[in-house]
Amino acid sequence: MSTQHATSAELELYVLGALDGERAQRVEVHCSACDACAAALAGEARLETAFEKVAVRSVQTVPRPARAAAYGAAGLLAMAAAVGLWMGRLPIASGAGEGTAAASHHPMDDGAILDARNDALDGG
Amino acid sequence: MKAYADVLPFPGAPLAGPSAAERIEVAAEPADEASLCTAALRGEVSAWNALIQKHNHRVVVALLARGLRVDRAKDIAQEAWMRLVEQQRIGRLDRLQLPGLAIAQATFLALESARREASTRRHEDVDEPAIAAALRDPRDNAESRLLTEERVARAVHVLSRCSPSARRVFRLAYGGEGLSHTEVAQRVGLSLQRVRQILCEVRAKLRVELEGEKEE
Repeated sequence: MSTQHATSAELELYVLGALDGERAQRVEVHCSACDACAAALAGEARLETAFEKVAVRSVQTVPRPARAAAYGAAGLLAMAAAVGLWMGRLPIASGAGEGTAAASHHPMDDGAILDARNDALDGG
Repeated sequence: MKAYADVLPFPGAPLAGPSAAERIEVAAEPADEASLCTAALRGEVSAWNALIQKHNHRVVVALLARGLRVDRAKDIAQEAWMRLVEQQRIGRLDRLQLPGLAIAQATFLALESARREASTRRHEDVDEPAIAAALRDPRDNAESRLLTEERVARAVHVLSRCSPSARRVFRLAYGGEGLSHTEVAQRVGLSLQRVRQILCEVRAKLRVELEGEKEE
């Protein structure tokens, strides 16, 4: 075997398939007989297979900023709808906030809000 | 892939014709994977050759990742391809999804080979559960899987902070399509050298998350 150990750069390029034939063959011959370099090559190969997991997972994962923005917008709409209802300044079936407000409705809350709203109307 | 000077041609196929480098370029043309697989399933030798040239390196790397020596990994990868070709010839192969199918075949052969060797060394009846435990991937237990999941999640986060073009190159190269770097370069409109440079840069960033602290 070649006595010169493979460099980490060579091993990385080998698993990437980026070494030319002659250098790739030298790495193969050496790693077939050198325990240390064989272990290092196995480590690079494991990293390569881990990258496949990362790539797949990164496609499945919704980017955090987009998700946070979506949650933020929904939260603001829900808050605006709740404040509007409490203050009696929005019609019960208003447009944009309807879906988000409906999702968090509690029957007792609805009754209390409506009573307060009716009292205010009666009193005014 | 250009990893080997001696990547195997289709068993029994003539070696005459273009050089290995030229054959690699032919295989790397945008001839789409689906049509190559369809042709291979019809038994077309040239299609098998192109698919082997394109995917063999990933099969070998998958075996290296399981701890096989490179010479052994190349032998088993060769045998895996021969099995697939044989299955197609006898009509037992109706779908061809690569490199996954070849990796699965090669992994099976590697385990079979290890079992045989373990059995020979013992000169006694094989205790299957014990051998199975001995052959099991040492990383394949619940604790290390959890650790790996954590690290993968961190690596995904690091990847999300890379530039959009770097993310795209990385996902194309390591996604499930099995694209060669040449094909990735064609998709993104960059040179092959630039694509590999980007991959090395991203690898360096993700390596820290995936390898963790060095054991003392």
